[in-house]
Formats: sequence, C-alpha cells, structure tokens
Amino acid sequence: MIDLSLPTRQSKKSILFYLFKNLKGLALVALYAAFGMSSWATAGWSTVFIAGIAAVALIAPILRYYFFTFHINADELIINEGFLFKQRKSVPIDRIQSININQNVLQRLLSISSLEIETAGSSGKEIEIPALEFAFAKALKDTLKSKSTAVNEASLGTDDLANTATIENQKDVADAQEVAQEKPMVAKTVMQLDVADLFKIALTQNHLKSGGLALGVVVGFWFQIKDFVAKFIGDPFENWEEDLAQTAVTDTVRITDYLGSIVIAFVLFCIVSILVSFVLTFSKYWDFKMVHDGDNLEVQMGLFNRREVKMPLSKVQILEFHSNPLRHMLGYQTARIYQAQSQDTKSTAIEVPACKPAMVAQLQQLLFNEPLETAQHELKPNPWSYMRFSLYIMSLFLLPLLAASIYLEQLTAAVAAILIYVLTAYVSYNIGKRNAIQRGDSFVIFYKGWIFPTTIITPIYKVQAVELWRSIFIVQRQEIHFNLHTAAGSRNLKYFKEAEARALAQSIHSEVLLTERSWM
Amino acid sequence: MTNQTVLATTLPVLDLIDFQKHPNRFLNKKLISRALIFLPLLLGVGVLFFMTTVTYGFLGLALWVLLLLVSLFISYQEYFIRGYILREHDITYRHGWIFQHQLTVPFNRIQHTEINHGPVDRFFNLCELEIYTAGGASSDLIISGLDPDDAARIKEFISSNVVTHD
Repeated sequence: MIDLSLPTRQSKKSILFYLFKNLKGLALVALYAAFGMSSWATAGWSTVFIAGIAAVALIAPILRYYFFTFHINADELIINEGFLFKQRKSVPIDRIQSININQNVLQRLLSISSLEIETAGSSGKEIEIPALEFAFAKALKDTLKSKSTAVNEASLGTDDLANTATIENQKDVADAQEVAQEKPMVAKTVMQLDVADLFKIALTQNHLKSGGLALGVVVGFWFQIKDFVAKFIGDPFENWEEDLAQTAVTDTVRITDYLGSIVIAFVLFCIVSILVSFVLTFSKYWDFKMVHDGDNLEVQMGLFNRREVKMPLSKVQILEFHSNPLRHMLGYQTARIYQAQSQDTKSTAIEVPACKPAMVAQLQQLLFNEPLETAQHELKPNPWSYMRFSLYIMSLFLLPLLAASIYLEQLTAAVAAILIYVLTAYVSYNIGKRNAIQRGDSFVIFYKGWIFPTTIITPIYKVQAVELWRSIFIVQRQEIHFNLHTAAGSRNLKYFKEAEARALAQSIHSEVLLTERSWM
Repeated sequence: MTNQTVLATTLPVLDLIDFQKHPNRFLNKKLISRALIFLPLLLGVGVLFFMTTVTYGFLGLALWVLLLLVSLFISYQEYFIRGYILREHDITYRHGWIFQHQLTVPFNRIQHTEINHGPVDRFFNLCELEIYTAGGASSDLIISGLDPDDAARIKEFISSNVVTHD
C-alpha cells in the first residue's frame, strides 16, 4: 500500500524519457528540413528554426515532469498535467476496468514503465501515466485494485443496510466476501510458453501474411526514400524500364527467359517470410505467461516491448479459437479473449498463441466457469448460397477477363479464369458447409471458415442484441443472416433458413431477458 | 420485489404485424431531402448541354431522372418497412428495403438513451431517438423520424424499465 493522498510526481527518469521521445521527433523534423532545403542560401533560416524547436524540445520535458502529478482524493484518481494548457482528469476508482503495465524498449533501458488505466464505456477516458519506477507502478496497480474492490464492497454494504435486504443482495455480498477471502490465495500460473513452444508457433504462423507484411514495409520505405535516393544517384529503375520496353519491342516476352529469376524470387520470398514470422513471434510472445489471480487474468509477454495485461474475468465476453492447416497438424489452436470495451479505443483483446486441446477446455472452464456442454440445437446455412454469392463477386472480374482472353485468342488465360472459377466455387461451398451456429444451455457457438477455421464461443447471458438482416435478393429464397452483438463486438454468419434463424433469435433473446446476471 | 419464474416458452413471440409506423411527415421529409440532394447534380446535366452536343445533354438528363426516380422509389418503399415494436422488456426496430435489418434490444442491456432534434427534423416536427448499448456502435439503435411526444414517451418508458446492475 502506498500513500497517494498528496500530489505525487512521476519518476525523475521521466525527464530522460520525454527527452528521448522529443529527440526522435526532432530527428524527423531535421530530416524533412534537409529534404525541403533547395540551396544553402536559405539554410540560415532553417537552422534558426531548428535551433528554436530544439530549445523547446530540451526544456519541455522538465516542465512536463514538473507539472504532471497524480493523487487520490475521495475515491477518485486525479491527474493534473500541462503547463500552458492545464488538464485535469479524474476517474472514480470503482469505474476502473483494467490496469495495464507496459514497457517499451526505451522504458526498459531506463527501468521505468507506463501504467494504463482503462474505464469501459465512455471513450477517450483512458488514462496513461507514462513513466513510473517499475516497482512503484506495480505497487500503484495493487493499491488501485484493492481500493476499487473496497469501494465496491462498501457500496454493497450500505445498500444492504439501507434497503430491506433482498435475497439477491445478500447473495452478492456473500459472493463478494467469498472473493475477498479467495484473494490472498496464491496466484496460479495457467500457462507458460518456453522456447520450444515458441519455435513451433513461429513455424506454424501464417507465413503469407508475414511475407506480405515484409513486402509492404519494404515497398512503403522505398517510396519514402525514393526521391532522396534519386537526387544523389539517379533513378536505379530508369534503365530497367527501358530494358523492359526494349525487349517488349524487339521480341515477344518468353516466360522461360525469366523462369530462373522467378524461381529465385519465390524462394527468397519464402525464406524472408519465414524469417519475419520467427522474428515477430519471438519478439511478441517471448516469456509468455498467463496467471490466474483471484478474479483476474494476467498475461505478460514480449521481448523488447513488454506487455502486461490484467483483465477481470467478469468482463470477458467472447472466446475465439483460430487455426490454420499447419497449426492443425501440430494440434495447436490460437485463442483470443475479448473483453467489453468501447469501439474506438485500441483493441484490448488477449491472444494466446498456442493452446493444446486440454488447454482449450481449461480456458473455457476458467473464463466462463462452466464446461462446454454438448449442443442441443444446430443451425446449418445453405452452402449453395455461399457458392452463388462468391461466384457473382468473382464474375465481376473474371467475365471481362474471360471475354477478353477469348477475343484475343489467349487460351491459357481463359483456362486460368475457368480454373479460378472452379476453385472459388469449391472453397466457398466448403466454407458454407462448415459454417454453423450451435446453441447449448448456456452458450452460443459459431463455427466459421474452412481452411482457417474459427470457433467463437459466447455465453448467452452476455449477448446484448440479436440482429437479423438480409438483402432483398434473398427474400425469395427465405434465407436470412444472423448477427450477434456483444459488448466486445459483433459476430456474423450468413444464409440461414429464415424460420430457424427467427426461432433461435427468439430463444436467445428470451434467455437474455430472464437472466439477472451482470454481463459486464 | 417479486421474482417469479418465467419460462422462456411462455414469453410471447414477436408478432410481425404489430410494427408501429412513423408519422407521414417522415415520408415527406425523406422524399424532399432526397430530391434536394439530387438538385446539384442537375447543374452537371446543364454543363453537359452547353459543353457537348444536345444528344449527350438529353442522355444526361434521362440518367438524372432515372436515378432520381430510383432513389425516390427506394425511399418510398423504405418508409413502409420502417417501424418499431415496443414491448414490456424490449424494443425491436426494422428498417431498410434493399438491405432489410431487424434488431431487438432488451431493456436490461441498454446503457442510455438520447433524443436529437436537427434543424431539418425540427422543420418537419420530427426527432431522432438514439438508444445506446455498451461496447461497439453496431448494436446501437437509432430511430429517426419520430414524433417528439412519442419519442419522449418511449424514452421515459425505457428508462423506467432499464434494470441497473450495481
């Protein structure tokens, strides 16, 4: 417990932290100034300009440190900041949803960390204290946590005294006391990933995605520095384009001429993709640890940028399992845990990169306190509708292509177009065939996807609203789409029989009306 | 406080005929504002007449009229679909003609409600009732084009029925 009744400043190291951040920005400004400078004649003014900005950048961190204070007053956490534009933020402690400790590379070097305080619902109310001593941040987190439970219990207690105690209330208090008694219990490590696990995860990542990412970064970077490079050494692609034009003029391009370079490019792309997958996986999930602490779930991970997330179990809305063919071979699945949050803030979902089948059941039990029962009721969509829709979409591109290739007598292109058609039909039919909604006593489960299958589990009492929708074109077929809204987002599946979907919506809806449990 | 057991099967099934229509003024507003949106495009047709041949001008005019008619037709059709059902514990809203949506929100999942009067709405003596749920905007219910008195009554009814969980 730390005393926070008086305004407290952050760690003195925060000056250094702010300074580094400003210097980073400053380097960019200097770079742009250098680019924008056409001759040395105008250099004088830009030097003065940069010097001015530099002076501000050096003094600002000290002012920022001096004017950033936080304290607790009457069950509210109050933060004062700003020198010219003063800002005062206050958060009622019982409104605090989750407290996260984050550390990026710079913060790790300085051994400080930032504390992020989230309040659900109202957007833009998130609070961040960017530079605290690591130990102090931990202590502050615990203090806020224990204060928030104390406040909540106190309010329950007064309710109890004031009103004639209803059974409901008494039960709540009993629950709260039970939780309070459970609190001192040692935190239990639910899962931990070692190097071998990470290796497997990296190997089974979606390499296409990492490869695409790498390609995107390279291309983006190239476009940024293109002008700069061109200024000094000329356009390196200038001759290349001419060469291409020349070959196009002199003789028809034969694919065999380029076969060697195509194969080399492909192999290179594969190697880079896998390498990127490894780097991303190891930097993101290094020392991954999931701890079950009372009614909270704590997850820590990261090599350079350390991330520590605390999520109250009662706020969990959706549990998702993702897979891909490679991961399926090793028997692993990726789990994602979504909590209630406002839409415009960045996602606070937790990703568990690898779950073995036993782990899947354990996670389910842990999050929702109930085992997954066998489904009583299953809704299957019409797979032909999936196929029809994707064929319509593909036709937009392929029909013109087909027509053009037949007109130009390029039969290989025509065959390729037809092959793509058949493949699309096959894949979309299979997706439609696997998609389903199951409804058990207390859960709704969505099965989605075929090559990259997803399972979405949400307890029925957490559902916020059910939406049925369709376009006018499928009214005739008596089909309808099913959309489930929860506080953590919406999940959608398409092309169900109308009567069945309406019955399911009705039964979920009735269940929600009857439940008295708090859903977030 | 009573808390009798209610079986899910005894709850009434939504009767699809009971949808409450919006006032006729709303249809007028929709049609007029649609037509107003198309007015600036008429300028483009005028430009076609002066800059190119008359044939192109007439073609442009025909296209404009066609688009206007289609748009008005969609608005007209939408009006007869649009409607809400207010029940003891939930509200259902149906809207859209090409994309038909039907959303049911139970009162115990509603966070707060709001009534908005825009300048155009005020001219037609209409208003917009917004019903917010937690989390994303996808399950928020926005009922535009209600009579202000009705909207106030619905809002009052909802807030008296919202169960607070604290």
